[in-house]
Amino acid sequence: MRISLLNLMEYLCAKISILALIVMSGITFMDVFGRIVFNSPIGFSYEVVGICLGICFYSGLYHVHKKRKHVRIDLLEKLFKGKAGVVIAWFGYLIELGFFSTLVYMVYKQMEESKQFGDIFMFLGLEKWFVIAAMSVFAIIALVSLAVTYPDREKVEV
Amino acid sequence: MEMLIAFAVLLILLFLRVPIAIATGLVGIIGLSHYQGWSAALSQLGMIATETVLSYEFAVIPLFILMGNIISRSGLAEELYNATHALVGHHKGGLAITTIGASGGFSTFCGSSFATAATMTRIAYPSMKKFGYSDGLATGSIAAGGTLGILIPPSIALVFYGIITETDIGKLFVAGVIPGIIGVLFYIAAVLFTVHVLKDKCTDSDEASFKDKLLAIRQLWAFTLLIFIVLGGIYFGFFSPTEAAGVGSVGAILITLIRGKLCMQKMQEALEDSAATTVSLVAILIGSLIFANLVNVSNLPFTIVEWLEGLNLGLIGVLMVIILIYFILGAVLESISMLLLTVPVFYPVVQGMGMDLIWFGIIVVIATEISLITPPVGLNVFVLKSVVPDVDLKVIFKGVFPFLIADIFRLMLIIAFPALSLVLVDMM
Repeated sequence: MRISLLNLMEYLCAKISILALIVMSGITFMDVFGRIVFNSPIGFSYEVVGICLGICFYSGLYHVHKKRKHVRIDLLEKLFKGKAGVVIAWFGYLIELGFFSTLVYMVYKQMEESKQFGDIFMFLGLEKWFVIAAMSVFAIIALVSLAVTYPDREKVEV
Repeated sequence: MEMLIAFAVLLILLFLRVPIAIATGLVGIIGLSHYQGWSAALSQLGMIATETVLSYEFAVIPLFILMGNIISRSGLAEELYNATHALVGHHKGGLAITTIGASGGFSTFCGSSFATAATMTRIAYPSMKKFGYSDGLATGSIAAGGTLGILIPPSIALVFYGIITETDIGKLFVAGVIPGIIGVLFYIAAVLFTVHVLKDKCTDSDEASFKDKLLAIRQLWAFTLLIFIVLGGIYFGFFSPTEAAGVGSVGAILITLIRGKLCMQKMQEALEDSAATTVSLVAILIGSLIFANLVNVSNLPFTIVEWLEGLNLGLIGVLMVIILIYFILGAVLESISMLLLTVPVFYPVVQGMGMDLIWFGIIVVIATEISLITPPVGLNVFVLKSVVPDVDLKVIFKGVFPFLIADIFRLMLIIAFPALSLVLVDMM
């Protein structure tokens, strides 16, 4: 059950991330096309593109966490084998988990502040906290992904 | 002293394989808490993690990545290689020149040095081996050609530099054009030097007929048009860089679909790859912006300026010191992270000395480019080695050496003549 729920979350997050990318690309193109050809730009395109970038980033984090695709320096990788490798892998993992948990909490706090101050997107008229809330939800899901991809002892020790 | 500790901790974390985004962010937050308290430091984390990703300007990153990924999967590399081969392949060293030309063209779309080197290894290496090229010249030209991607616009490295220094990204792209072309020409000169003066082994291939030349070039018209629209649109002020990236990505999809070069599976792969790369890069950007805040709060740039003024080195002397630091760091760090860690420290220093930040950006990116093929690490060389494991690393580094010299000449030229970077910008 746990695995299938994780798979479902991964599938949904990946599709949402891709969809956000497509919308970002399409709306930017339509805005330029409308402005140059019909002298009629899409007023809210900047805001939609920004929102899509936020959604693309936070929903895409699930996949990047799960597949360990964050950019790292692998210069000393060959030295980190055996028990030392396991300790270093767990050290890096716990730092990652701690930092990302803090980030998730701070994004949530940011949402609260935005709601409190009543920030809105100027052209869309949408309250900003809705978008930050969506980002927070994706960030929490990505945190789950990170939490379940702890270092595999067998892989590290090889 | 605090900043020295911060840099030391950062390097230790990086070498312990903590992701660059996390290491920079963590050191930044702890450092900021030292200067401003935990509450202020953490609220900066929340602010940057939300405002950065909601920014329209930063959408330039995923959109150019998408354009590059679509085009990379459309067979453009082979077409570019065939077209350049038809034009110059029959000359002595022509296949190596073909590799340089095709790498320059491919990297224009692709924007990644590693992807260019890996792709060109698969296409060009078998062809050069077939015509009896030495391993040194074959691998050297591919490794060096791959580095062109980091400067020739649209370049992700220049986008990051522009974001960190708040410099106009469009102007940076335009400034990269002439140094990029000079880079291609100098690399061609390095090939000619290798085959004519060093008498490196290679045999000539047959000259293509005029009809074949025309056919090979004709295949490229759509992508050539696209890159002219993207860069021309920025140059003539029709688009901002983000808009150009949007037009480029949709244009790339349309062109590849019309030419029947992109099936649904490849499209899906391109989108997935683009999303994953975007996440990795934006995460690094968030970490780096936090770290940049720490650098600013610590007053480190001003301390460095005072120290350098005491040394009376002058602007060129300071530039030489900075370039030396890049060469040293380039031996252990990859290009984007090196830029993001160092630029926040260096740019206020040179700005304080009256240097144009666009010119400095081009110099920094060329220095980064050189570090990709500099021993003992030279990451492009390692990318190549992973694709052709039979060739010894020493042979590749020996083959790269003439290109390294060409790069150092180019860097000196760009430093001596700022107009090479700025003339097109001034005409905008």
